[in-house]
Amino acid sequence: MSREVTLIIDGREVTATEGEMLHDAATRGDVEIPVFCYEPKLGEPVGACRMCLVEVEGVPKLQTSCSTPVRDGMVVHTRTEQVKEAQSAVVEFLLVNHPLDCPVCDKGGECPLQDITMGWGPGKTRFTDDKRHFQKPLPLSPLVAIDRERCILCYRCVRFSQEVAEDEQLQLLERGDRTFVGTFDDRPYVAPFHGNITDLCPVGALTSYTYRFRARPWDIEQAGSVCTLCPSQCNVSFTVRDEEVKRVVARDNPDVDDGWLCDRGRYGFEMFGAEERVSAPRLRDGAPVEWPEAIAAAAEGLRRASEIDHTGGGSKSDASSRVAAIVGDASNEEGYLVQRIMREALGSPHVESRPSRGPSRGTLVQLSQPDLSARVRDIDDADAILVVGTDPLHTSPILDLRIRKAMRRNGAKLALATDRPTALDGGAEAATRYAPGEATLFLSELAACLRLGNEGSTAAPVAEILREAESVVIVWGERIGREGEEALTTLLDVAEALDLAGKDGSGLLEVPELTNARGLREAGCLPDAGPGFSESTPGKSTEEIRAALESGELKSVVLFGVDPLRDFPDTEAWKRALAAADHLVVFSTFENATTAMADVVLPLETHAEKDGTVTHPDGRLQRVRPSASRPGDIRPNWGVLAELALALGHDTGIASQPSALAALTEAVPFYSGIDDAVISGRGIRWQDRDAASSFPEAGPAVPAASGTSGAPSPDTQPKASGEGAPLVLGTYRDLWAGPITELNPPLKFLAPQQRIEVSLADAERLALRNGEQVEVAQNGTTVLAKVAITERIQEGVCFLIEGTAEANANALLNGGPVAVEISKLGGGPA
Amino acid sequence: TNWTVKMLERVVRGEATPMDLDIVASVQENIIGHCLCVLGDSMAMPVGAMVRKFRQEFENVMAAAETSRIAAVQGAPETLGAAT
Repeated sequence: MSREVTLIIDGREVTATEGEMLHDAATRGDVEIPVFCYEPKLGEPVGACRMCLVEVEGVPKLQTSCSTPVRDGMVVHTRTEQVKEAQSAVVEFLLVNHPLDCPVCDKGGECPLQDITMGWGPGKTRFTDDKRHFQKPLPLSPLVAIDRERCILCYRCVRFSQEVAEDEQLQLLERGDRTFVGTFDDRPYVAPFHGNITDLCPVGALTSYTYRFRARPWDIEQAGSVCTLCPSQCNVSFTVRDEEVKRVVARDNPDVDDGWLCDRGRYGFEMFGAEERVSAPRLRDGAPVEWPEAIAAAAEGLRRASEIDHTGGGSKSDASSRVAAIVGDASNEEGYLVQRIMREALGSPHVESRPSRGPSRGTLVQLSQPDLSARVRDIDDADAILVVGTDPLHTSPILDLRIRKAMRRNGAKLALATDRPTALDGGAEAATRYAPGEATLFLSELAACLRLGNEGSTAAPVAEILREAESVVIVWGERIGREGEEALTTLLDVAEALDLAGKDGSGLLEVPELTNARGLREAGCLPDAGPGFSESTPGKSTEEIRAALESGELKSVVLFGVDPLRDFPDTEAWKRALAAADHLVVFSTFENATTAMADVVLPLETHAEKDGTVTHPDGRLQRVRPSASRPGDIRPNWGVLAELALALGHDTGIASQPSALAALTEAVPFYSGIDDAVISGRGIRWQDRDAASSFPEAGPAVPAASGTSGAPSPDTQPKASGEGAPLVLGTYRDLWAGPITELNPPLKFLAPQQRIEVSLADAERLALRNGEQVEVAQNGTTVLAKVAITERIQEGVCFLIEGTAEANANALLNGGPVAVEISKLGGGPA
Repeated sequence: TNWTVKMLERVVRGEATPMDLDIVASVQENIIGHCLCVLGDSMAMPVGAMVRKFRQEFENVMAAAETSRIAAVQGAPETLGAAT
């Protein structure tokens, strides 16, 4: 299919693949053809701007190189008089209505229109009449300003909205010389990916309010790094002025993000300088202290806690140890160092990186087998995609665009199986809803369907799509693991029934709850596995740590980049647990409810300041590079951890970031040999290297849920029937829930208010009106929420948002299935 | 197209110069074959041909319009604008 053809462009012989556009072939042959509207990321070319006209021998009229496919033996000229005249005319036309306000335009200095006018334009215009006038600038959204006079109508933003994000809000309104860009109903363009249009705009028509008049291209430096605000780990470039981040733009990496960013990653940087930022170490309720004092205090408390009634000591981990650590927002090196402090300096096996619990080592090893992991790119070419137990839009937004692209451009079939309706429902061939906490049930039905062809089952439509497909990518949410080990063993069963491991371009792709979940697991932040999934003394899972703190079995806990009081299930129990701890060491970026209870608070770096590596859910190691200066008295986290280890009498031998990475790659056999040069700008998948062969062998089938996970038995498994029956509660983490909107002035308007989503039938049964405030109660705990009657939601089920500032749904969770009562404010039961 | 219309309006108002006719002709040539939208070609062909073949007529109109415009400006101010 991909036949090679040879053509001649300006006398150079260029080899191209058949079907490729002339412009792309020319670029590879080092011939520059100017463009405005052409952007391969947007899909099919439109040929609107006419800038890329070239002469093709044998064709009488000039052709647009962006929309002319290459042919074998084609002879193309891009610098003839005819072409030059045409290009000069096009520039003149584009400038007819373009204001010459470059000195006050934000795009000035990095503007394709400026550059192309200089390179290919006539230099002066013969146009002496009045230009088009619009009111300007107008807010297209609260984050993007539109200047319609500067617009050259290249369609890029409109194509993005229509064909990539598929929110279909942007339109070209009016016709001919009155055409302008706007939303169809003139309301603000609010969508999770809309910031991309400011990157796409080739003129200064679309600019970010967060960057307007902040800097000029000659004031700034671009610093390539990786965004760690969600598991997508998009490649970004920070625009830095005076050592502060002023803007975030996409850095194209087709293997990771396809060149797009979500608004979370693009505008999230404003919180780096928030007042709530922890900018120096401090002790309980105290003012900032010097580093040596803080580290000594942290070490002293940990040592004291681990020594009480504890004679074991030494380097061997001991399950009776009284200290624990939970890691969250951390790089691979940081995770590695925390588990080393725990296991080697304090002799404790209690290291965890999951919000509640997760599968055992054996199951994880099976799930992470190199031949079973799909690349992000595999989604593009998959025949069928199954999304289980996650809504990519909220958890890993860029995957949402990836899946849309696969459907739109390559005709991939999408099957969905989730508890809550997702943003992808509209394009799915089959969308199955299961009740919250019943993913396991669905997966076992699916496996049975695939093996036995059971027609009547609820999983039958999904099974049919998967069975017909040559290549299948299963995008699964780590959340299903909260149901217990069995959810993942049945997932493995489905993968085996489809033979995903044996087929090229097929596999599993996880959407984890934490940005660097995979990296932390591989670095050894697991209660039953050390670095590289090596076997180790079993320790406690996160919920076991909580219970042990509460009962006094554990005395001290190190929280590294986690905020249990916001992010973990069962808020009240966590409050009791943290209050019961003798010594609480919290590493945190921002002050929050958890740091308020800490004995020692140590500041964390943001991803603009950090130096370290992270591992993408598909196994790609990427490097987070320090781009901006650390505010206040913040120090590199790897150094703080190394010093803490030293204060505890354990010399890690780590004296720099490269040595931390070297220690990590030495400890993780399948990372062996990876260094900064290997990771380079685009990252490297460890599965693609020879060292991958040292990945642990998958053991025999893992026995279902061992005693350690200790799932609370479902005391309530209600069926919604009859008056006043409780509803089964499902929760999800909203894209905008958390500090990202609360500490970020430009994003504040997006902060989600707690809402309870119910089906129409339940709303009628309980006499609930849309928008009314209700109390949602579970076992004595209540939260306030607004009723949102939602289509496509199952009867007997309701949904709340986790991680909101107020009325956080985590308060109602307790690790098992939960049913809630809804009552109207000021009245009895609804 | 927008530019052409603006120039032709000036021709009719008597505010154009013979150089504008050259520009009108050249703009039409630049549009033909270079634009995506067929409105461009369908306007540029007849307008271009008219300017080329009936240039004298355009110049006559321009001259007449200019004379009456100047007369209007020099005459009673209240007739301003009505002359065109």
